[in-house]
Amino acid sequence: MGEERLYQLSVKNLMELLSKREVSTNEIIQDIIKRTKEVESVIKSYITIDISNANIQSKKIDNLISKRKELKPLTGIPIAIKDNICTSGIYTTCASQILKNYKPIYDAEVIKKIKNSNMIITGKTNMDEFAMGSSTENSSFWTTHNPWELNKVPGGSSGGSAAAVTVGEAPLALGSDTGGSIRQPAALCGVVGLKPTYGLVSRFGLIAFASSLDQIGSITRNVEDCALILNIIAGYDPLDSTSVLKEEEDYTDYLEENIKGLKIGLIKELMGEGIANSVKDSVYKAADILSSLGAFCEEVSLPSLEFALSAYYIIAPAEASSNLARYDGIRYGLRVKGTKSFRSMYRKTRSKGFGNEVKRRIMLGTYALSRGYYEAYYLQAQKVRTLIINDFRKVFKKFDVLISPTTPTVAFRIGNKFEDPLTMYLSDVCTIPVNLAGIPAISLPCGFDNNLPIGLQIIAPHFKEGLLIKTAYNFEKNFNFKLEPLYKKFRSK
Amino acid sequence: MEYIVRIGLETHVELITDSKMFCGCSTKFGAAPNTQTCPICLGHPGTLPVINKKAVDYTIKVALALNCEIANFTQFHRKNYFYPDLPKGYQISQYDLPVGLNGYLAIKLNGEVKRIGISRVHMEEDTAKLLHFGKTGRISEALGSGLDFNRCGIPLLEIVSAPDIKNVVEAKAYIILLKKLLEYLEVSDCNMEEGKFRIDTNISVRKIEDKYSKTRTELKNLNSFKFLEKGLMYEIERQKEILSKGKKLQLETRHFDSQTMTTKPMRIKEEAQDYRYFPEPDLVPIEISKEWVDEIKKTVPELPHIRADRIKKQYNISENEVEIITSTRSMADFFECCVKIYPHPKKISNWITGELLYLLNQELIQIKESKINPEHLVKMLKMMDIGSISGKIAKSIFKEMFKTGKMPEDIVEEKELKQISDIDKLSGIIDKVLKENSKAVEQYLLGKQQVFVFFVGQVMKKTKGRANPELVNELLRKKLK
Amino acid sequence: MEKISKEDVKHVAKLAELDISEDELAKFVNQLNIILKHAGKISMIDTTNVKATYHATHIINIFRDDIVKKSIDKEDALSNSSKVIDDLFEVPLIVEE
Repeated sequence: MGEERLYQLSVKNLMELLSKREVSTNEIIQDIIKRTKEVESVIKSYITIDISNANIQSKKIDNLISKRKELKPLTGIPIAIKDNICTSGIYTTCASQILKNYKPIYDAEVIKKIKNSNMIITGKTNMDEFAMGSSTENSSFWTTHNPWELNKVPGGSSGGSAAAVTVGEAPLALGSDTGGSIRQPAALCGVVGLKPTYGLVSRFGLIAFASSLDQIGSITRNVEDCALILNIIAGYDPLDSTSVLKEEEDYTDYLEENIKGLKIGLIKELMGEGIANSVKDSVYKAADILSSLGAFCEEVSLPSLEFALSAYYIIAPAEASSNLARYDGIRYGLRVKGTKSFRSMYRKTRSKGFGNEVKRRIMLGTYALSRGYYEAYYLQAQKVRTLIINDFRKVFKKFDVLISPTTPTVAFRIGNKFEDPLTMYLSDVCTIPVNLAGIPAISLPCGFDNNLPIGLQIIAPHFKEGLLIKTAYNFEKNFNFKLEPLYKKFRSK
Repeated sequence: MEYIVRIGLETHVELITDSKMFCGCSTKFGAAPNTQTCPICLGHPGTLPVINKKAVDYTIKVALALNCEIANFTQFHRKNYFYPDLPKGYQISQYDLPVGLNGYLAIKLNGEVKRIGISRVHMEEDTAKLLHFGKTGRISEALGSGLDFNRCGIPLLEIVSAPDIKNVVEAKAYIILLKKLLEYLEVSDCNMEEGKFRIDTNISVRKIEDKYSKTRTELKNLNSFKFLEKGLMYEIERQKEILSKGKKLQLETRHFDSQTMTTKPMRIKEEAQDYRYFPEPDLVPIEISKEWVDEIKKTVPELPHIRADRIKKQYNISENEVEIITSTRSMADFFECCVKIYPHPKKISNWITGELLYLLNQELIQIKESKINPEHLVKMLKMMDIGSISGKIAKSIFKEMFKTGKMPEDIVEEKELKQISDIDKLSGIIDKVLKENSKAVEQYLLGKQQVFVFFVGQVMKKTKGRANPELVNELLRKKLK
Repeated sequence: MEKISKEDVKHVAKLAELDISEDELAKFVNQLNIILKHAGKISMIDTTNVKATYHATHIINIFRDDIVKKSIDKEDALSNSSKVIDDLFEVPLIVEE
């Protein structure tokens, strides 16, 4: 099997080694650091790497472990965090020049939970600026490279998180998903990405893009790890009025091999013209595998999905235009000096600090909300949203879960779609409807096209993450997909 | 030329909740700059608001007192605009689904009652305080500006009247009554100097024959009664003058210049702000159930004008006195508390509208803040009734009670102020006075009646004012015969 | 759906406090029009009697009690600003343009 290094191990495996005291937290971190040094110059997953702190933390945790018999789940496990999640004292930039030097004075709720579980933050990962993009090319710092083929995009906006997990710089990562920003990069990188139900995970500390669509989720190498981290980050937060109070669940309960009788709907509208043949083939094959395990697969139609992309590209920019109004240079962030009036300062600061995609979306959103256009654009889009929600509700009466491709194509070339916003937006066509409905979805690898991964998306009703995990777990167990070849590719000489 | 004047008043009132509207920071006034803030009210990235329930309770309470329809379903909206005192670049406010709609406030003028319509009552958050460095603190002479976020996020109530107000007198009456109402409801201290009660107005003047004129001027920040009066008067005259010359008025926003006592233009309202209102996605809607409204109804006290009418009738007190007694809820409570344990409303009213009011005004405090409570006054009056203190002494006792909060009987004992009504004792003192002033006695006996007053004065001097005046008079007359 | 004009973009940029140079303007107008054309598809759907969805959850009446929580230290509050004078966040002169 060859020499396996610690960075290659899953969260579950690391946990086992730690609990058996066969390895120390520090040893794990050291190997992670070594791996990062091996690949980071080429992959560029990170904006901020927190090596010294990680080192110190790991020693503290080893000390803790030596004193205790029982460990909190995920104690000592390293995790990478997308750079739009606030980490107190650590730069949190959203990959934007306007927050280049911003150090939050508080931790996001999920970060509090992660710290509470004694996990170790390895650093802040690269992303599209303010989460606006599908390739991580909109980062104002640098582009992250897809580990499978370096001249290809890793996807976005959580491209850094996906690449880091894929190539072994962290066993898992947190990302955010507003229109597919976890699932799409997970698909393009061949890892597992989960967007939970809107309201399951607190948004307090997630730097807002589109408030009614944003959710924090995980990127892991397998479904089991996904269940483990979901247990940590899920839960009601009184600081987030949109978070939902519900009975706590142990998502690892769903890691059982049995999907007999599961009714699966294959979304017709997402298997059409705009989807690459290789992708369609993989998804059909995936459906076959699931059927062979006792599930019932059938095609299903959700007609309103045709308008999901259009509705999203009004709603998301509209909310974003408002969420980004706070960046005025007064209390934090970039401030262009030497202006005489505050308006001049605002304009110069924002124009300098925001990249083109962000400016585009702010203007689009402002337009959609402006007098005379509100009814035709914003209001109409929110009504279309209702139609989409209704379609899902109707379909879920008949089916337990739905499946579709995660993305229309595999990873595209860096620079390919960059100047053409509309083409870029089209890469979200499969993932967007899920955010509009607020329902959970997971992406996991289901094939290759010329050595580039293809993702299968599984969608469930509100708060049925358990179903997602079960279905995904069963598929994973019966589909051979390994990241090992990738590790070998980046072995240090 | 006949003109029609229509005035609408928009008041912003800071609610006296302990914590801010959307975060737990304290709302206490007067703290050092930027010491009552947190990432939420500073508008830091990633922060989210959570609604203070008490602020909603208070809003419903005010809406009820203003006879509004209470919305079943209410929602916060974002009002988007850029200004340094607005950290998020939007204010969380309400738009087309406010808590209260279509109410009224009935003002009394010259015995007549007029209903001023209340268009809406809604909740929002206050902005930061903008301070200008420079010699005078005025914008036009500033060397720079700075922001204090202590105020940012304090719950604000917006009460918008219909343009039913016709003149300055009505405007003042409306504001006075509104302030009183809010004070009675105990939702705000309405302190105008501290910026907790702010007034903007919309004024439109048109010729009586000009039916379709929609031009109005917005006049901002009239933050004292004086400014309100002067500002409105000036503006009405200014508009009348322009119209009389046959010119047209502009739709604009003006501000009151307290130096010149005139109004000056701020910005042309044509370019009216596009606030791009949309429902606040970070806050879920509010459903106000009948049960909730009923619960709040129970907390609405007897409203000032109703209480005034009742007290007048029930206790037969004059209009002027009732006005003073009901000027604040705590004053009215004080009065009725006294009457309950000492059923002599006229006496109590005299002391309240006389001595007590005088002392409160001297110290510039409210009755709530004073050391006097009903027990003090009633005990004192009872002591007067049984003659243990004289009316004159009572006044100084009252002052002492006000100053120290001590009970009258303790003060009397401490300062030996008990009225002397002992005939023997008084006789002895009178004898002494007459002996010491034999020449004056002679004068009196010769017919100089005025000397009598001198003798009384001397007795009072010797008894430090404690002698029972009626007895002194009686005894003196006897002795001088 | 209408096309967005140069004037529209200038207006919207002003509302959003963004400076757009003349060169950028043409490019943005073009890009925004392409996007809007696509987004404008939603006008084709009949949404009579359809209520708008503003929140992805069905929860209502989420409140907190009126309890004071400790504020952050003044130093922390001011820490991220690049210009502070006398414990206040400095702002360039307020001059209405």
